[in-house]
Amino acid sequence: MLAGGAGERRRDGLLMAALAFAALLVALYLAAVKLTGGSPVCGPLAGCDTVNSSIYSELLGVPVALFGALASAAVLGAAVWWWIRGARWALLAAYLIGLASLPFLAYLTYLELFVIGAICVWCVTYALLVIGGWLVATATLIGRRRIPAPPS
Amino acid sequence: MTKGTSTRQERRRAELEQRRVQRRTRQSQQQRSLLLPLSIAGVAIGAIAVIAFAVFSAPPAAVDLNEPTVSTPVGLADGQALGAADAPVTLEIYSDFQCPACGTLARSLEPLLISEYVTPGNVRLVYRDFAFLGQESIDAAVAARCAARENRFWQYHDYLFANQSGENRGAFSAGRLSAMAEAVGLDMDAYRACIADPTEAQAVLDARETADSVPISSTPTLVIDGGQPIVGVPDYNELSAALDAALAAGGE
Repeated sequence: MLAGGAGERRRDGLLMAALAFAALLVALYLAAVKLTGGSPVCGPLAGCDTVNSSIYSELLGVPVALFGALASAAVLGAAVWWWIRGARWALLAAYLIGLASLPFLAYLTYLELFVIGAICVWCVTYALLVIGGWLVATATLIGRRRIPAPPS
Repeated sequence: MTKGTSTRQERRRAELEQRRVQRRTRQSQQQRSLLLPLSIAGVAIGAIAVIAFAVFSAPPAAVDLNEPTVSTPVGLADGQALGAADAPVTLEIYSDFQCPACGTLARSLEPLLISEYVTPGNVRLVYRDFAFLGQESIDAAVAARCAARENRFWQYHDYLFANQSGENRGAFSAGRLSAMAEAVGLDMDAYRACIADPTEAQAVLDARETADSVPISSTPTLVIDGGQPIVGVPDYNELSAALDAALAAGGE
């Protein structure tokens, strides 16, 4: 019924959902740290606290990580819907949310590198998870467009 | 007959399959035609989000501060006091950072007092908060106490008095107080933590109550060795005479 089969859909859906879930956890952690006024655990790497306490870590008083958590929750919902129901719109939604997130992630990374002058390993991890999920969604979308030739 | 039925069924199945493939091809073409505009819309939404973020999270414009015209020598600074701890005379100055007369005292009299009495070790100057002119008085007093934690109270005091501008009109807004903290070289993380610490605001309010009990009713008010309060900006010669008298009394 599906290009690549239901098994492939389940695999891609599961992978997208897992990546979105991990991204959601990272974003929620950063948002919680920001809201409670704590410092993110950064291990031997410095910079998490600098980034998380910078003026760029919030927008109109709302932690930026909370926006990330909302986006990841939406992707997670879409990925699970695609995984279980195979609804095309859900796959498209996951792809589009990921795509819309890319300019924002690029801008935040630019701020870290060239404005704040510190790198937050949690933020980088979040960006990689979102990009990974978007790549899976893109590959799945392109894969679904490969229609077998009609029988001659 | 059986073979004919089977052939019809196979043909029917093939037709159904062909229709299904055609339907999926149509859907695929529809998807293909939709994907590009949707993708462009997705990137545009992301770009708008970036622009909105850049606008709303832009750092505040640089704060234009007046440089202090006087610079209190800070070698003898001890929190909100200035001068040797064992100086024979103590001069308390009850003051509000928003009070114009206090600014006049700080800019004109204090430098003379410091050079002639504090630096030689004869007088210990003690700044007492009497923040009664509104919220910005309290905020400025709290910020000055935070500067005192890093023993930069007097530099901060100079900045505050150099930047007076009306009462509760933003001269001592959070942004300007923060800019002054940066100007005197405070550890800004420590400063922000201190500003958020309610104990400093409470200390300012407590100081006001203590001053009330002296009693202090206006600013500036000067008190030499716990004696009679001198209200307003005194003539320097009169103040000098009073200090000399206190020193003479202390020396006896």
